Amino acid sequence: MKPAPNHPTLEDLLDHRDGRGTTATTKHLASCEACRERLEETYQLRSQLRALSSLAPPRDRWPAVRAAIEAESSRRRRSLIARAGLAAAAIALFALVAVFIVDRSSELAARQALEAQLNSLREQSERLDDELRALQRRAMPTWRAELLLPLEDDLFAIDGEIDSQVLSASGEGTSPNRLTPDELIELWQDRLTLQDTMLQVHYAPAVVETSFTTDRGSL
Amino acid sequence: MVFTRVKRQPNVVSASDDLLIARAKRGDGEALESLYRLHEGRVYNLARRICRKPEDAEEVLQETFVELARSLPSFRGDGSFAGWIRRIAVTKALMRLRHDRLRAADSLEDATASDLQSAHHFHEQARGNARLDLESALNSLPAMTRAVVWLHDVEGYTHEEIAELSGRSVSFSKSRLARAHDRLRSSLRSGGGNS
Repeated sequence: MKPAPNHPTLEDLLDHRDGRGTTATTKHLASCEACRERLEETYQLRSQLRALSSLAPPRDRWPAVRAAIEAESSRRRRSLIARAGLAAAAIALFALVAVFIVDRSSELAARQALEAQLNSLREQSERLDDELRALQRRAMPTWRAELLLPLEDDLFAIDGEIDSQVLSASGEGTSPNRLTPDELIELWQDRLTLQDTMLQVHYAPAVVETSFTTDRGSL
Repeated sequence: MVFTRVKRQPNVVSASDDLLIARAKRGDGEALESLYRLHEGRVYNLARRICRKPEDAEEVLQETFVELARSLPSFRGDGSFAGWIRRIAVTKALMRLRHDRLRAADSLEDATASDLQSAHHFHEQARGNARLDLESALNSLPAMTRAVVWLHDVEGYTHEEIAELSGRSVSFSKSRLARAHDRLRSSLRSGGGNS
């Protein structure tokens, strides 16, 4: 069941609750008791969440934290010393590498091919992102939204890995596992597969709708 | 696992923080420990609400204070110290969420199938009049949905801040919040809402 055309969506009501509602929502609320009740529920739920008790660590973690801080500190000291040595070695290595570069034109071509493939996958994925964004703006039944949630979580995880690889490549990240170009391509292919699955969910006919609770059914 | 319940700590401890920060910056270990004692509860609770497993929350607690010790010299005191620690903790928790999720997915297809089953199972459970209180309803939310509702409704982060921290869009954060409300509401209704 689609929400009644004149009712604001839950997102609109939450925006209103947070002081960022539109005039149309405010106007609607003045004359719609059902939406006022729904809005009140969002206030109540927020209060209930804030009233949940705090969870404390089950044991004293300070000794482990202190040990980790000390280990990190001595690792950084060693790293500084090593870096100074490395800088000198890097200069010598640079001269050697310059000689090798001349003979590595075929390797370069292979790397360019991989990069081209990677760019193509990125572009395809961006196109699917646009399509998915357009579909997500539409109202959708709860069952469809529920199927999409875990897929979006997976997408989030893949994006996180891609981000950490990008940071790692630029020397800013802390990712322990730097992926090879082939593995990176595989990651982008996974992203495309996932986006494709999400599109299938978006376009799936509503045959299972009756087995799930419908969105905003009470309004 | 049983957790010790503690009272919510006050949000601002800036007066005592200032002195402790200055001492900790000079390498005073006791001051660092005092800062830890003052803030561990809030950091752990935040991490525990975002991460599904208690041991992950403990790791986030540790990583947050290692990062704090590393970055303390660059903390200039422009903003609230508590807010600064909280931001480190959120970043660490979201990072762990991403990596755990990726590690858990041995193959994309398996993970997807399992998630779909889990979503269906949740609906069946809710429809079967299972008694879900707010804690368990919150825990049953998908990881990012739970993180968004907690960060926005409890910790007071804006959608823009959540988008920046999670690397997603503002509309992603808004839609997750709406879905969280929708699902929590339906869980509490079917379960009697005994929270």
